[in-house]
Amino acid sequence: MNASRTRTVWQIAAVVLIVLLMVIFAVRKGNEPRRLTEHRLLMGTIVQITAIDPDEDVLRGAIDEAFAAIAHLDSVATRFSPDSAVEGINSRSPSEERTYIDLDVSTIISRSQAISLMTGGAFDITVASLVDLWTFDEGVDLPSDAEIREALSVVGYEQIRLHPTSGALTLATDVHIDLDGIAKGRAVDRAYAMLRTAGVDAAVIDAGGDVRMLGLPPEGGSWRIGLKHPRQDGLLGVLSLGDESVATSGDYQRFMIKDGVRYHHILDPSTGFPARGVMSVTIVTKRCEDADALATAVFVMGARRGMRFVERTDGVEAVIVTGSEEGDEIEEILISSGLEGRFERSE
Amino acid sequence: MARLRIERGIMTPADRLLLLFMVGAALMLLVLPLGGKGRGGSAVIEGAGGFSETMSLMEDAELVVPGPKGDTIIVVEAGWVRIDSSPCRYHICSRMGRISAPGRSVVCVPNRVVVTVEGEERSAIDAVTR
Repeated sequence: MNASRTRTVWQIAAVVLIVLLMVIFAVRKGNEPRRLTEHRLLMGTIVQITAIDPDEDVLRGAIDEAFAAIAHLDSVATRFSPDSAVEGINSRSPSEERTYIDLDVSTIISRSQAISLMTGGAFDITVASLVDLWTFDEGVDLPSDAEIREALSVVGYEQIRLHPTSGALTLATDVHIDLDGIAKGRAVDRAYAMLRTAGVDAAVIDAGGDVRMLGLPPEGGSWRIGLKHPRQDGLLGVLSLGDESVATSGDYQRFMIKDGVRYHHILDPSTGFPARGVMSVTIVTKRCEDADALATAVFVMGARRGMRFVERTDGVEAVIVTGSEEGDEIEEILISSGLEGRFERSE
Repeated sequence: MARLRIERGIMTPADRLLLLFMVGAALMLLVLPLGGKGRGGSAVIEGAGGFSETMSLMEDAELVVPGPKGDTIIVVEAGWVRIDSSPCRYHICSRMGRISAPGRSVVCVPNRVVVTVEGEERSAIDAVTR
């Protein structure tokens, strides 16, 4: 090969190499996962959706549909709108024992009943009358024993009859329902279904701490979910999770301190008083509605009984933080066997 | 191998420089991550009636956000932002603590105030259960 021909080959090779580099760059840029985060005030909290996919149009459409699904549940499951399905049930006339209800609400009630049965009534949506007694407003007296006894007389999940096909709901007179302990988790599940159907690669849906993850992070590894410290700013630890849900019930959100005793919003349906001995319960399950409801149920059961329940129930894991009645010191952090190696305590 | 050998004198110094540049560029394109914004360094405060303000997390400051129930006080301190006080019933917002990671939010639902740290990149924690 003579010198000029070799030089021409070299020049062609250089041009081909440059074109190849441009193609590599364009392909990488086109497939680069986009991360989009949006938040809205729904379900009485802030709902934040982070979705990841190379196609931004897919992301925007899917996030809008997910928020629409949550907004629908918010409108039917809340107790704070006179037009909601739940308020329709609670404001029925005494003679009206049977009522036909929204399909979403019917599904939530059905799952609630199953969880009440599983947990021996530690989770119960008929606690509405009790919830109304405990305001947690500073300076307001605690409910009297007589008031609690009266409210307890209309608490009991056995008083709900839901027809499996017609959706007809039969409730004993004066029994009211409160879906706050499960509806947020259900809303997260509906959003998850919308994102998955739209073909989104990965997502994190966070409704005020009820969280469900879709897929795995595109960077590799697992999702890192912080657990709020029950008594301090910052985190108690971090869970490494996959395509799962996580929810926490804690005694630190709605509470008041009276005569040195903390009275909080997680009520034991059998006593009518706040459950004792536990500061927080974090549940990891597949479905967020289950995580949401079981976090309350295990809190009510207490640390030992609660952990026994978790260990014998397939697909349910927990972190239980216990504390003394009066003090603010953590006594123990119990971690179920399925989370061993996946919980990292913060310094 | 003899056919592929570049003969002495065929490549000029400029050719060698170009070759070096292209090999380096190819390696960088393959190895380095693309795009991505740096750490946000600011928080967006949204309130009722279209209220919107941005606070830098680089300097300590306080912001009063009017809402339907009164004034919510937002405080930036040492690179963190938090809801210091709000005229809401349960004070869940001020108990949510401080945040600094991009994408994280604290909120006062009754007074319609949302505080979000800006940034698109993935933070060390994907979400917090509470």
